[in-house]
Amino acid sequence: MPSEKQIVETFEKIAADIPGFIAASLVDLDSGMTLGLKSTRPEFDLAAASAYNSEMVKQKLKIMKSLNLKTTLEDMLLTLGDQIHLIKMVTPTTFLYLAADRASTNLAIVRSAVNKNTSVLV
Amino acid sequence: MATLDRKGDAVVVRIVYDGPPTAGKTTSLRALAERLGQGQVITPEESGGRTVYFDWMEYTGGRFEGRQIRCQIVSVPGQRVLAPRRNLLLESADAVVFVADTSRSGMAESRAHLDQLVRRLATQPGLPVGIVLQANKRDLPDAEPIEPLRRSHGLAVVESVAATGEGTREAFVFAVRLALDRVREQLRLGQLQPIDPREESASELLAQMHALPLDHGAWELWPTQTEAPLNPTGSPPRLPDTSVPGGWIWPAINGRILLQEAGLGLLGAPRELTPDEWVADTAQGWRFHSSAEGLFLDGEAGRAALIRWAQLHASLTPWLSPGRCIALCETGDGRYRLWQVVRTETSLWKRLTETLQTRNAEHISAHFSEAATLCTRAAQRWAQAPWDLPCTLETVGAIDGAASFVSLMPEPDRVRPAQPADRRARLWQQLRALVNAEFGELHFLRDAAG
Repeated sequence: MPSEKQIVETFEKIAADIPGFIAASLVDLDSGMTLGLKSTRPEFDLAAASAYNSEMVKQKLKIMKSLNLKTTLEDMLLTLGDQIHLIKMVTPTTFLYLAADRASTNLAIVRSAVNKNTSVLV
Repeated sequence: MATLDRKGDAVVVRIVYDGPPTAGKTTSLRALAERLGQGQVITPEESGGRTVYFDWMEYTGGRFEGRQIRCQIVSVPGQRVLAPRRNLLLESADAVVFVADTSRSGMAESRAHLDQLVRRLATQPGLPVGIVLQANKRDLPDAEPIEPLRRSHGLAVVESVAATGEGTREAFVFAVRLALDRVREQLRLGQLQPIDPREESASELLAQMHALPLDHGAWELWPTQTEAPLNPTGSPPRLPDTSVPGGWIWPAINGRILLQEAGLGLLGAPRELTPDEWVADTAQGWRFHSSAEGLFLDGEAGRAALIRWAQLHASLTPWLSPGRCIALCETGDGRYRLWQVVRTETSLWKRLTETLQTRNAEHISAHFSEAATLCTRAAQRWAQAPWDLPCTLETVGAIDGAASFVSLMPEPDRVRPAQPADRRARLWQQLRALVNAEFGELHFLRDAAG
């Protein structure tokens, strides 16, 4: 598992690559607790968002199991009115959650920046 | 054990931080509080920078089965003499973070403490409790390799530097995962109970700890007279002796005789165990003990307390080891102190751990078999006592073949009326753990259980 310091350093690199970066966290899937985080907006409750997102990921995995899908969940892209949220599975027990401002960036940039920098989080 | 807070719609788990003294438990909690950015660490009392009862913080975060997770994060006092307080916390843990001092000077004690923790947790009834090993002080130049620790019990290891907070969050989240595994099992077995949040607070925990005696088996391991006391408050108090006035000692006549015997061969001046709590030992195996609550500004208040305590002792005489008296005496600085003086008797715990060290299978088998019988008798006897006496391997001993309470008596305001409890189960769990930890399941215990 990466150290918290490595996690934060990785998020700083991702933030540098994404215009409009808002926040990112590495989340433990089972508990929904954050292993490391970075946020540019204090009002964005990253811990709560991470926790609820863990439930969303678990539900998705349950759906996949009930459909007997023999594949893995790679990521989930969510487009909100003014934000983009990306949930990317890093290991079977952790995922990266990232939020960015939709007006400043796009899905391709977000995905590219995350994929480029997450190997260290494994 | 985890509980359900229906009002707050949360699952409540307790993560206990254990480890030898000065390994970094309190530092870890404080660093964690800063990182999690929620709540503060409450320390009811500390002495010389060391935890006397516990450190406590609460953190609510994460989600489990549609509910919030509320974590009570508690660290134990590390000093051996405070072991009963530590044990109370371990009994309530859903997961344990073992903070090891991995410096060259701390590694041996960390290993021994971890071995003891694993054995201890194995004795506890109920679902198994997971352990995360937080290998602390990794920044020190003489930090030892942690592979032997990792291999010794097959635990997950997180390296940390608690002074900077590094590694503390990872260890905590890992422990929460372990706790949730336990909660899942509780749910499956229908054991997850709702509870009033007020019953699980730092102040309630403190009240429970106040009722506990200390581990007198640890006194032999205490620093020698030449070391500085925990919390120097000036001269040590005067010990009671045969010059104590009439009416200030119980039992009235035999007490004075006991004091004469007890006062011979003192091993140095009284030592301050915790703030205002004093102890002195003699070569003949007597112990003088006075708690912080045993200090009075006037003699009449002290005498009233002595009378209450004497009544308690008198009502419990059939259960107590002989060789006890209580006495009030002037401290030498205008105040009065209530002492209990107890002749040391070997507890079951001490006897059995010494037997294990002999590695003699025949002795071990015989002593454990006797201990099993004594435990059953102790449980039956304690059930008949009018007051609740702690019933553990540390407080039970054999006096003339009978199970007796050999520890220090709790102070009068900490003794409660007898409660129904499965004392036998608890004692047997402790016995089994000692046996299983060393040798695996032995036939004599199964047969004796009948």
